[in-house]
Amino acid sequence: MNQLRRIIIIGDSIEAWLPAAYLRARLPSDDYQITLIETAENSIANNGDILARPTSKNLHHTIETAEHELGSKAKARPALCAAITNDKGATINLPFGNYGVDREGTEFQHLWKFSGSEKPLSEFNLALVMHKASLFIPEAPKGAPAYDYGYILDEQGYKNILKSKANAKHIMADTLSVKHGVHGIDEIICNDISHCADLYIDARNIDYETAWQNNHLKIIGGFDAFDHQSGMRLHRIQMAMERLFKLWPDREFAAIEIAEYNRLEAAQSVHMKDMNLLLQQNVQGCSDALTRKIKLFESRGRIAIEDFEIYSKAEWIAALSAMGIVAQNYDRLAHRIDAIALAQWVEQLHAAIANVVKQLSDRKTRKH
Amino acid sequence: MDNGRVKNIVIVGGGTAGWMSAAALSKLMPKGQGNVTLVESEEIGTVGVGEATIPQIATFNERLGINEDDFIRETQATFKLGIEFVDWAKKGDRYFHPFGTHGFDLEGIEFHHYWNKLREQGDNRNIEDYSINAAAAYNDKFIRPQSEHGPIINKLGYAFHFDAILYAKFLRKFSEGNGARRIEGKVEKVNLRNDNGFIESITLADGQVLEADLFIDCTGFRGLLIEEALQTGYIDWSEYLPVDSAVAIPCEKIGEPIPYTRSTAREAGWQWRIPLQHRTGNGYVYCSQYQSKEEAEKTLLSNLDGKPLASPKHLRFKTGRRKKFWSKNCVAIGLSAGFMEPLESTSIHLIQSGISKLIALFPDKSMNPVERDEYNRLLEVGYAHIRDFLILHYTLTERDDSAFWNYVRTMSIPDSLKRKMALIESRGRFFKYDDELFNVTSWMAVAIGQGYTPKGYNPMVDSLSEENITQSLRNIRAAIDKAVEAMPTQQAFIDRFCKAQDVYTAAGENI
Ligand SMILES: Cc1cc2nc3c(=O)[nH]c(=O)nc-3n(C[C@H](O)[C@H](O)[C@H](O)COP(=O)(O)OP(=O)(O)OC[C@H]3O[C@@H](n4cnc5c(N)ncnc54)[C@H](O)[C@@H]3O)c2cc1C
Repeated sequence: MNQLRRIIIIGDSIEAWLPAAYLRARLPSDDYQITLIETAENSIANNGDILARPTSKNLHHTIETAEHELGSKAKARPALCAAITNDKGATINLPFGNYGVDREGTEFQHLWKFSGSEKPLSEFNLALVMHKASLFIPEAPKGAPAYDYGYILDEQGYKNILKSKANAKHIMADTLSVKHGVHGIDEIICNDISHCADLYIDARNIDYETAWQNNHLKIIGGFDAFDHQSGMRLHRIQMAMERLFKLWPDREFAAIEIAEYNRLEAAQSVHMKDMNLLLQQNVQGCSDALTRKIKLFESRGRIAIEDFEIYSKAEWIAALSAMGIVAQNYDRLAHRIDAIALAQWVEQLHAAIANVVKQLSDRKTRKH
Repeated sequence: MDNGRVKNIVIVGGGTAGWMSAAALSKLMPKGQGNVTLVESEEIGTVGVGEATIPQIATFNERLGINEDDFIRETQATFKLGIEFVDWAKKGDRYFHPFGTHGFDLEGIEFHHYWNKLREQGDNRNIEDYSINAAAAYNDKFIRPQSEHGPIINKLGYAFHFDAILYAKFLRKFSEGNGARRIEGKVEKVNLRNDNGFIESITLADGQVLEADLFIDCTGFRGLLIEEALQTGYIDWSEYLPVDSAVAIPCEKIGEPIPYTRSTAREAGWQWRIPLQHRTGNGYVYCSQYQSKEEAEKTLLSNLDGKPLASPKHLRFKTGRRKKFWSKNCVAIGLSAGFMEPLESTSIHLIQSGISKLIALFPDKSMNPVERDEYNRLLEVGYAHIRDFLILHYTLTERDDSAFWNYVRTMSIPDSLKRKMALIESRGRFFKYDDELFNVTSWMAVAIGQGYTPKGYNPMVDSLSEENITQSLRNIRAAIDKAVEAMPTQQAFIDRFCKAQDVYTAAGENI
């Protein structure tokens, strides 16, 4: 049998424990041996808060972690956007919800522009408005702009949850040395003892060009502050695990499958890198995809969606607008709606959002 | 602010592409702002074929507010649950490419991996046994899935077969009802502006000159505007898709229509059989390098299952696509944009896709290159994905009984397809791109149907015990059988909800 049975994960904090918990949930525990070698080497743990994007709900479903568990053990608080502070000190909120409500197949940003409303577009994003007012309800009221929510989690508490789910053999590394050979990693010498596995998942923050080579899969290189703030810290591991699971190898490590993993990873990295450049307000040397995004948005407020996108349209709108890129025009099809009726509807929507916020604030004040 | 607004749109051509474009633009353009005019020439006529669709057409109907039953009645349509491929892998072989899905994913892993595991262990059931579409198709059954039908029937995907001429008529009525203007006339001249080479106007044979801000070229293969006037260029894909001719003929229907298309491989190509309510459409798509027009016609006529209702119609084409679908102020939609042969009924979908992307990227008079480039990029990607899927059918054949099949079996294929095939071959891995039309069910149906069964499966499948998998798959089969048994026949469904008027020949015979 060529089945891959022994997995070693090297790393620290959630970067190491999340893959362990994920694989434990997905793999029959009798057949697979998961060892976690914990090392502070190249760690990105900061024992503060981490952001789990809304997509983390799938992950938590897989590892059977309910919301109340995140609440009680990791002090989960809802997050309606990723708040990012760039090098220039500006804070940009990437919302987890839509700008306004689309009508007759036309996206709201066009309707808003055509309506000539003087209210800023951001005031039509309920997720952003509630975030600003520190308010929260799990679901948008009917007719209001839709959103989803993620969580802010206490890293230490979250790590403990993952640890309890992972049920992995755990070794604290005082000394660690990774021996590489022609087939990837030959062995890991940890605390002077040799450890071997069929697959090594490397969760240390080490820059890499190719994520997966032979039996060595790197999942977190090139980490920076943006990854932390945008929720990519968790999201990247989640995506890596989902990809790995779909391409689960045997000990032969078919080159074609590894190449596919690397191709998908590279495609997603481009979007991540592009978003980072945009938020840093320095788009020199960005990908063709971002150039297209900027031009298309500038021309008429449209967002080009590419293969394997990570960020939503709303997040791109927020980032492009923060960069100072203003749509020169809007989609003409907005004209399908009568201008006067549209202007009224836009104002009503704004009032409805304000009303939701008011009711929630009142309720909050009463509670206090 | 509105100075640059596109006010006048002229569509040249009144085939399926022209009338689909007119229907969508007349319905979706802001009222009183975009004047849609369509010019067509009865003298030139339309290709008059193109009668099978894929499920995405429902989105088009829905967006336009077209009632499905009205549409079926008026176009003599039937339901299509997939395509049966006969003699493709080798003579005597057949397989079914269903819409919908094979089985259900279990534990987050695609169904075909479980099927493949059991197959490796000696279970010789076909993957089709897990398709509600295949089961319904082979039992002549149909029901329109509704939420209360439960998860099995809700997996049923369907499209339509329709009469192309009646479809154009139906859309004409719809478009004119929404304010589109039709002009009968032959375009004799396309007049370009000196300064920027944009199309300024077209001149009709009767001297009428029509100006517009945006021209939609739906003139069929010739591409009167996009190619003859703007000389955009064509990318020839005949090295991969070598068929270049077709002969088509309708025949009397024999018995009740079946709810699927049949594609039968022949000596130098393949023959389609499309059942409608009032007749059966037939055609033979072949490569003229390997078979003459006369031989092809003979092949088709000797393989009809009813009396011919017209004389055979011959067509020539070159597979490929226009280098740019949108050039200057002209957008090519339909056969003028490209044609990759009708094997998977993708042309009407590409018309729909062109229209919806044009609407999403609707320009103003200046024709900003940003929007135009994005449109071209998106369609280029869409065409390439479809091309690869079509080539898959040919490259996987085992046939070596004619020069044509020897060529396609051994021809070189694009790298993008090679990569996809290698991933399927090793362990049935498939990743769908956002803008890719065909999904894992389609790729697996054709690959497995043609004997290219993945050598392995996702080892994660072993997380479920063999007993558990066997039981789950047995349950799926039983649920499909039960659901199909309870469905009405397609004919009964049509009779009840969407029966078209009977059609009589001049001699008074009911056809
Ligand atoms: C053999 C074959 C089988 C096919 N089967 C399928 C199928 O099953 N499913 C599918 O989706 N697609 C199929 N297609 C493709 C499908 O037929 C076309 O996509 C569809 O019919 C659209 O054609 P069209 O409107 O672009 O061109 P046409 O039908 O050729 O229409 C061209 C129009 O332009 C007009 N015109 C041309 N020149 C002038 C002029 N100078 N002045 C005025 N008017 C002019 C003509 O009068 C006509 O109205 C098939 C195609 C072929 C060849």
